Amino acid sequence: MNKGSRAFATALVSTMLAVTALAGCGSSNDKEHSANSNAAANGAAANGNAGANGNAGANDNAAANDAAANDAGASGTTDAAKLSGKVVFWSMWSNTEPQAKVIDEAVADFEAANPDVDVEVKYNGRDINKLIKPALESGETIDVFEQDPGSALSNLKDHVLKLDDLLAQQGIGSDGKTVKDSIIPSLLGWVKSLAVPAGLDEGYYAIPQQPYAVLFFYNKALFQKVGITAVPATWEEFLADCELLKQAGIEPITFDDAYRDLFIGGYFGSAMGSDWTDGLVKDTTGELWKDPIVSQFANDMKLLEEKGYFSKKIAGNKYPAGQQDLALGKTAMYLNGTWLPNEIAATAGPDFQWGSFQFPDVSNGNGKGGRQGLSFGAQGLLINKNSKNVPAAFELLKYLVGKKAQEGMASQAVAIPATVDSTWPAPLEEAKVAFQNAKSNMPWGFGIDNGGDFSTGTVIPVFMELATGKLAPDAYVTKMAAEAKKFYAGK
Amino acid sequence: MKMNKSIIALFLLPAVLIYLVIFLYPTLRTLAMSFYDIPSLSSQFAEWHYVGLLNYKDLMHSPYFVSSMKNVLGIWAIGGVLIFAFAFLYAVILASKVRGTHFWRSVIFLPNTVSAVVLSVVWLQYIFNSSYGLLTTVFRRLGLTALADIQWTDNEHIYFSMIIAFSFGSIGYFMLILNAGINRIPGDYYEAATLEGASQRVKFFAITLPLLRDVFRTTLVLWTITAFNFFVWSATFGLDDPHTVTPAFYMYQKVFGRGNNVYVEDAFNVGSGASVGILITLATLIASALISRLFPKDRLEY
Repeated sequence: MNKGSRAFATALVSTMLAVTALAGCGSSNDKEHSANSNAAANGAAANGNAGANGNAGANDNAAANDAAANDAGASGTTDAAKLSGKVVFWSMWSNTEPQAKVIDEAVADFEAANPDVDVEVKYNGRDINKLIKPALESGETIDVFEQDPGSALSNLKDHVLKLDDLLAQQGIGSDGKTVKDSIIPSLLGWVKSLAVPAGLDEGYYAIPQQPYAVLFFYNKALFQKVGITAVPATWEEFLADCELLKQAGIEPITFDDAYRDLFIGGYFGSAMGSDWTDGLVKDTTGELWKDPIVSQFANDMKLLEEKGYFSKKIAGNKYPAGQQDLALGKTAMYLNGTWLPNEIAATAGPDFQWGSFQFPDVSNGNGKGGRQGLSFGAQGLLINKNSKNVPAAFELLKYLVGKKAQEGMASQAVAIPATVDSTWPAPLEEAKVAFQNAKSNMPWGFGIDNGGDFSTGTVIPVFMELATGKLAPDAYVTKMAAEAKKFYAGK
Repeated sequence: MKMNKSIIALFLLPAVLIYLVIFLYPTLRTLAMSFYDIPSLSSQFAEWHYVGLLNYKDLMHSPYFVSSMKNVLGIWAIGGVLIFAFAFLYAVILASKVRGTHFWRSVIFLPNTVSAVVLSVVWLQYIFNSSYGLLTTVFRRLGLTALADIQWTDNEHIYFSMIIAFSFGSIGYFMLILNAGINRIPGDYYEAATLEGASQRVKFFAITLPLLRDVFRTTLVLWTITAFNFFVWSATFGLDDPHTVTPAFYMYQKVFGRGNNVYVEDAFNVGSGASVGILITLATLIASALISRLFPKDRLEY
């Protein structure tokens, strides 16, 4: 080794040490305020306007890792030809679904490039949610598997491999970008934010894919018919649009029993943010329910009910009855995840004009809600900590989140591609706006489900009494405050 | 022939061993688990955290669990009356040798052969649905708009809708047992009664019912066990609605989680699920004991 390269190595090592130290500081700060979900904010901000809050450090970090990997030729980065053995991949799709076809193609590409590796794909369908844990615990050979990162990190934290090294490697078909840079930053930020609350070291344990967001989906043809040209941005505009629809004899809003939580959470999340909503359902004194915003919520829900903006059937809608009403053109709007257009494609038909918008801004909030917060998430690709063939599993994973596979998901399965600069499926074109607005992630239900038994046993059923006109707004506030106090009395 | 005691023990050994391994051990382990806070079903013992009776205390404080207990008692009582009323009726009709006994018996039993999940989808989406369901359509045809407008699956009705749907599927099973019991009663009694001029009603109350006591007692115990472990219908009908949740489904939620995320504090507590399991077992034992007390077992020989 000559002098020059030794100096370079020294510089590199010291840079890395410095960066690690910085990252260390960052993480301890993060821990303080990421008790809930805001850690994603950092990732999301990296979207375009960097330098907002210490993102420069994060970028440096990635760059340094990258350099280190290239320089040292570490961990089988590119020498794909050397890979051999077997890789077992457990998928969350069943082999009749369009996603499986895309995966098959990606696996074929991988095998063509790595002829010595034998890939075995097991299409479990959603049964994987029940099977994966016992399978991993009994030591079954699984190298790569698909799970929702949120539940995977809380249920399977002893089985997941930290993927930070992988992210620094070069992606497949990504024009020289690292895997990290080829994936939508807000998604990566979100995945990262899950690690510490789940009790893991800070880092990335899943590669996000199949991203979704919770949005209002609407029937564009019906909106146009009654003369609505722009999607509602505020609650007042939302009410005005409901009125137009109602007068034309169209039911404005519906939802199913499975998604009742979204409507409550959507309102509070929009007004106050998900941390406040989380605090609301966990408030042991019940006092928080006496906040004016709760009363405003109750009155607004009463208005929706009285004016007939809610479908009369929300009381009894059993999933998927309500979303069928949307597909059949009886109802105009439905609050749901971005999987909806694909899920009801068979009833809606190819000519259905999909539109979507974020939960409108609710006034008198605390400024922490609004459209900068989005309830989004993704499925994830994870690697088994005990995998015997990590390098090949890494490589396969890169094909699965590569640009070609992700664009295949978009064109064949109406899924949002996880890669940046990829074309989105037409029914979800408007959803892109929401992802661009998103600065922070709100959990599923915007925090309203975080109360566990209190949420399912009290918050949702009492909301239904309100939404069906059986409970007056004042009575709602009193009842919720009393119920919360009662529920938490023994804790 | 007098058997050596050790031979008896030897022959009993396999059965006793199997019983101990597959029944007693899990029960005792569940009992132990119910005193711990356990983060996941397969957690090592080192991860268990002893909490004493806290799991039980929390259950008693949770209005969600308390309503699940009320629900299950209601299912036992209301469903029991519905099921046994119809099961007895059909069993007696079938035993009276109507034309096509075998056919009718098969028809009544048929719902039992269909998976509970399928049956509940049929009830939810094709019978109770408020836009094109069977009930709505029929009532609308008849001009009974008030009845047609009822939302059969809203908060007020879903509980009874669930019991009706479940009972519909269960009548056949109990009918079959009762019918077999009635067929076992010797025909001489009925002949003698007929000669004495007894009516169908008298024959039912004076001969069938008393002689069927043992069979009825067994079916009642079976029904109690079924009702206390009421699970699938609760899961499919209400998701996790407190109006339809039952202890067995609550136990499932605690042990396997409920679409959990990392921010829900009590997403998982296997220990709490184990406490529910223990409570269900105790309730079943107590109910069986009460039933034995109410219907003493005196062998009727005929």
